[in-house]
Amino acid sequence: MELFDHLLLGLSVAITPINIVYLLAGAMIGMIVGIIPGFGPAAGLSILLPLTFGMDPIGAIMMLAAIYYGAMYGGTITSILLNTPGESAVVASTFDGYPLAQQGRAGPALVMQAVASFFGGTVGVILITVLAAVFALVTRSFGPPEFFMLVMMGMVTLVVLIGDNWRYGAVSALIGFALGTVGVDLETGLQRFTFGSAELIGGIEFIPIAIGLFGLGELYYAFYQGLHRAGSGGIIQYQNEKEFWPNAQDWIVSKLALVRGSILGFCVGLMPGAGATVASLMAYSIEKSSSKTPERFGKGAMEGLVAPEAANNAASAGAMVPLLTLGIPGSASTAVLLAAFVLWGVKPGPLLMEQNPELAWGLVASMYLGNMALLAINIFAIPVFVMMLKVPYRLLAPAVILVCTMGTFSVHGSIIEVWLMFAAGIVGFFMKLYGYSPAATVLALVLGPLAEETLRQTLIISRGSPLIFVERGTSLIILLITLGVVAFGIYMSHSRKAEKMKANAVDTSSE
Amino acid sequence: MRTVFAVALLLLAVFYTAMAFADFNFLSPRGRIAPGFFPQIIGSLLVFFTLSTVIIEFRRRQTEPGILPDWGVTLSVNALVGVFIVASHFLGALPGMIIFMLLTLSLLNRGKHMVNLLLGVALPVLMFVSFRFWLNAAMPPGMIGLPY
Repeated sequence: MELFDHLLLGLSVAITPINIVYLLAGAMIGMIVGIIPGFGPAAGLSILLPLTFGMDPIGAIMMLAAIYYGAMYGGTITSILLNTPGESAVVASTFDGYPLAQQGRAGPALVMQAVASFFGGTVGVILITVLAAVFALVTRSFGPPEFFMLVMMGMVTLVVLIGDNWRYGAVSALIGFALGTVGVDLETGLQRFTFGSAELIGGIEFIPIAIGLFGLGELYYAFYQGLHRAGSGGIIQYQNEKEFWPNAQDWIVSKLALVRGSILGFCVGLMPGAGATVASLMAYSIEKSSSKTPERFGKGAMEGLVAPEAANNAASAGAMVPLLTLGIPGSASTAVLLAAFVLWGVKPGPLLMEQNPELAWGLVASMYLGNMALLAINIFAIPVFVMMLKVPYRLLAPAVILVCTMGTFSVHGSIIEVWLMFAAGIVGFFMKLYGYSPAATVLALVLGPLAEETLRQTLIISRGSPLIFVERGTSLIILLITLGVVAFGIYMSHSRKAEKMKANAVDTSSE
Repeated sequence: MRTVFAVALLLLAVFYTAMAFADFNFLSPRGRIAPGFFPQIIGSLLVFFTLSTVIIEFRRRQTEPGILPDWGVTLSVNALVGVFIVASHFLGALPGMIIFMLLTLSLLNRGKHMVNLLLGVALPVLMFVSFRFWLNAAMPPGMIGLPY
C-alpha cells in the first residue's frame, strides 16, 4: 500500500499543467536529438542542460529525464530508416530494422519499435517503483569501501564491455580520472594542477567537457565523414507506406521477445557501467540463439528488432536505480543527469527517497507519463520525424554549434569554460575517430573525485590495509562481480577475434 | 594521424605524471594518503597504457578508417568555432553568433546567399531572444559595449 501512496504522491507532483508541458517538450526534444545522427542522450542532455536553468527544479529534472529516454526512442528511427544508429545503444536495432525497411516494412518496424520501447520503458519504471525503495534500504548499509568498489566496477565494466579495444577504453577512463584530480585537494587544501588559475581551483567543470566531447566532437566527426555534403533525404527507406500497422504475425513473434528483452535490459541497466548498449546487444544475441529460425535474423526478423529495443529502454530505466539510490551514475547520460541533480541542489543517495520524496517519486511518476506520451508521439509523428531527417546537415550543424557554445557560457558565465569546451571538442573528435571512449572519460571525470574520497576514507578506516575490500561481505561480492565482468569481457574479446579470423579464412579460401 | 594522437596523449600523460611526482607526496608523514596518492597512481597507469598504445600503433601502422575524410571542412569549422568564441568575447553574443552563422553557412551551403542570410540572422536573433528573455540565461556581453 505504501507503494501506491508513493506513486500517488509522485503523480500529484508530476501532473501539473506546467510540468506536463515540460515533460512533453522534453520527450519531443529528446526524440529530435535522438534522430540527429551521432547524437545520443548524453549529447542531448549535456547540450540542453543549461537551457533548464530558468525552470523550477522538479519541472527541469522531469524535462531532462524525458529528454534522456526520448532520445533513446528517437535513436532507433535513424537505425531503421537510414541504417545509421544515432548512438551505440541502438546499433543492434539496425541488424533487422533496416532490412525490414528495405522490404517496404518501415511502417510496421517503426510502430513495433515504439511499442517495444514503451513496453521496455514501462516494465523498467514498474521495476524501479518496486525495487528503488528496497535498493535504497540495502544501500544504506554501504560504507566507503562499497562505494569505492561500485565506482571501480562501473568503470571496469564500461572499459571491458563497451568498444572494441579495452586499452583505448582504459586510456579514456584514466584521462577522465586525471581531469578529476584538478583543483583543491579537499583534505589538505593544496592546489593540484591549477597552474595558478583561479578558474581551476574548483576543479574542471563537467558540463563544458561533456558538451565538447559529445556535442562538438560528434559534429566534427560528422563533417569529417562528409555528412554535410548531401541531405539524407535520398537514402531514407520510407515512402508513402501502404502497410503502416504491424500484422498479427508481427505481434505473435514479438510477444516473448518483449518480455525477455525488458527484464534482461533492466537487470543489465542496474549494473553501473554496463548500460543500454550491452543490454541491447545481449538481448539480440539471446533472441537469436533461442529462436527456432535463427537464419531469419539479420534479414528482417521482427523479434530481432523488438528485443534490443525493449532492452535498451528498460536498461535506461534500470540505470536510474543506482543513480537515485546511490548517487552513482552508470553511464555518461546518467552522469549528466547527476550533474543536473547537483545543480538543482538535490543529492541522490540512499536517503533521497526519504528526504526528498516529492522529487524522487515525481520523477518516477513522470516516467510513466513520459513513456505513454512517447508511444503516441512515436507512432503519430513519424511523418514529421521523416521530414526532419531530410533537413540537410549543413544547415542543422551550425545551429547546434550555437546551442553548444551559448549553453556552455550560460552555466557560469565563463569564457574559460567555453574554451575548455572548444578543446574538449577537438579531443572528442579524435577520440571518436580512433575508437577511444568519450563516455568513459566523462564518467571517470564525475566518478574520479568520489573514488578518491572513498578510497581515502576506506584506508583511514582500515589503517592503510587494502584487505578491507575482501573482509567486508558486500564489498567482496562487488569485487567478485567485477572480476566476473572482466572474465566475461576477455571471453567475448577472444570469441570476437576467433570469429573475425574465421571470417577472414573463409574470405581467403573463397578468393 | 592515429599514431600522432597516441604520441600526443603519451606526452600529456608524461607531463601530468612528472608533475604528480614532483609536486605532491604519495603519503603524509603520518602514513596517510597525501594529495599525490591518486594522481601518481593514475599518472603511472596512464603512461603505461599510452606508451603501450604508441608501441602497438607504431608496429601495426594501421590504415585510417575506410571513408573519404573531409579534413578541409572539419578544420575550417573548428577554426570558425574559435573565431566565434573570440567574436562573442569581444563583440558580444549576438554579433558573434551572426558572424559565425554567416561564415559557416557560406562555407557549407555555398551559392545559397538568400537562405544563408536569412538563417544567419534569424537564428541568432531567435536564440538571443530566447536565451536572454525567456530562459534568463547569461550570454557574453562583449567588451566594447554594443547597444543591445
